[in-house]
Amino acid sequence: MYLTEDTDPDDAIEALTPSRSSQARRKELERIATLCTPREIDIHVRLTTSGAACRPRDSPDAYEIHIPMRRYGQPYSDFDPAVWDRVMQVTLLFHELGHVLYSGFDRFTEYLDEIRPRWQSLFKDVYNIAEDAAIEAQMATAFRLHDDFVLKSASLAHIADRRHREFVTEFTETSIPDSVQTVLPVAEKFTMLAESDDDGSEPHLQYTVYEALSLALMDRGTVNSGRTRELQDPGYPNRQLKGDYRNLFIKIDKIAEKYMTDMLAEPDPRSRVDRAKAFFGRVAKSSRVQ
Amino acid sequence: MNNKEASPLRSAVRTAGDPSNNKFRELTVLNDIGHKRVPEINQETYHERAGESDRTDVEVVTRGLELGMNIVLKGQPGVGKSYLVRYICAQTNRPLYRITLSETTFREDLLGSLHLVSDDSGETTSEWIDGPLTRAARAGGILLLDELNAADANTAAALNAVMEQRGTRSLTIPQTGEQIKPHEQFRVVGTSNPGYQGTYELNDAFEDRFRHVKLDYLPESIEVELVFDRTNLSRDREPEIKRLVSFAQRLREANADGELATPITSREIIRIARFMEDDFMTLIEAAKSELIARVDEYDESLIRTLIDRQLRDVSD
Repeated sequence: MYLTEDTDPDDAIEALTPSRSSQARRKELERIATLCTPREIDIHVRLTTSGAACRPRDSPDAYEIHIPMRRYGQPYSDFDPAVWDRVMQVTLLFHELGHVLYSGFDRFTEYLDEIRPRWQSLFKDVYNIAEDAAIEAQMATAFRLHDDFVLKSASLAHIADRRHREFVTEFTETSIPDSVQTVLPVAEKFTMLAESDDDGSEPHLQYTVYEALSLALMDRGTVNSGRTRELQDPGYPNRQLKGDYRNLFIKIDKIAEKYMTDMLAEPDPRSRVDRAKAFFGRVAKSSRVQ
Repeated sequence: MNNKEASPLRSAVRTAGDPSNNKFRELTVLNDIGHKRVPEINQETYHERAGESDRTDVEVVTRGLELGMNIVLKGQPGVGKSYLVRYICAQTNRPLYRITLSETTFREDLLGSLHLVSDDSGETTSEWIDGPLTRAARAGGILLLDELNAADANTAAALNAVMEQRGTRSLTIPQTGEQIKPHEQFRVVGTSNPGYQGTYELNDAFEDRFRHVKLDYLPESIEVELVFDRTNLSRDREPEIKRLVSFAQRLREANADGELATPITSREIIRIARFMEDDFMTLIEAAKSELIARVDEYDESLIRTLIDRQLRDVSD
């Protein structure tokens, strides 16, 4: 890989620092997981190239958690890179532990099997985004994790949006949100500064209804990136829906708001799957996807 | 310097009081004669724990002692093994003699040794000074052997003879040739930690001379009460103490499962709470201050992370 002025900072950081892939780190994460869950739960941690995940294993009360080895940029913090690596890995670990402690895998799988394969990814997103927010709220009550989750979510949102903008700039134009607000009360608000192209203009980002719905759900989770608000604002042309679907999105967004409020308030994981199922049905009906 | 022959003088040992008509649980209470070796426990707040049967640990131990048995108390560090022995001695007016065994403990440390003593005339004589085993045997007290796992074969051999049945037990001091018939009330109590890597494997014959009693950690609710008994903390801090005790219980399970090198003891919980008094430290500061410096290096960052994420200060 050649580093140039145009190299993505995240890619540069990833390339210039060693991945945190040691067996000692994996073991430490596994011990944290073990000590933060009841004794009867068996957790195996695997380090993967990217993406955090949690899945049940064959035996009862056994789970496998995947933690990414990749390095993330830190737009809102200034940790030593090694410390930041660990902060992200530990925070992602606690997020996945939230699924172990609070999610209903069986109910979700049962319902997913009932959905036509074509629409399964939409249901997965609709459920997972809301479930992520719900379990982070529950974890933040049980453990002192609120600030970690806010920092993680804000950083990932920033990185995703910057990549979106860079991708679009390759072909057209792009933009990024003007602010990030936390949904949960915290002392310090994260502020995402708007960036502009060299000529001062902001690139235009376009979203499908599906993408916009995902954004609307995420913005009602742990961190509000402000992107949904900009999408709905006719006076903000840099973030737009593809095609003539703005009114449809506004309609879906109202249902999404109620859905997220219900999901964050519902402590029972099976009831949350049921709620996601009901929401998915309404969205499908509204957009006539079924 | 003139050396006289070793004189088999023995240290003056005051015997325990005679048996009274009272019992503490299952064990006969001895008359209170103001014996200096009877422990004084200001707070008589030993929390009795249920064992495998309906009988509590105190009932089982006092029953065993009443029947003339020697006892070994097994349990993780800090479960209160030594405290239980002190408590029973205090309640029954029994003198307590205590020694912590290690790989450097010799037979002489238990039995006693000859010392050179100069008198006023400048003459030096040899005088026998009893060790804790000999004193306990003469006085009719309880000999508490901490870290029994660390006893080597030589130490065990010194103890074997005094741990026979009451009618046949005897104690011989090789240096003086004295043969002592242990007092009727003399008993041996040992403590050991499961998983402790003793220097020597105790042989079956030695192990078989003890009635084994397992002690577990106190239930969480009682351990919380214990903290408030032993500190000046306000009840406003109860949510923090509950969380601390729950945290400690999980780490103890991890220690028992081999996931963690060292458990958190009740003593450490109380020390953490003492440093929270008068707002000297927050819970998190006190826990880090107490535990981080003490844990195995391999566990340090793990414990730091767990304290940061699992404990909450009252201000949180």
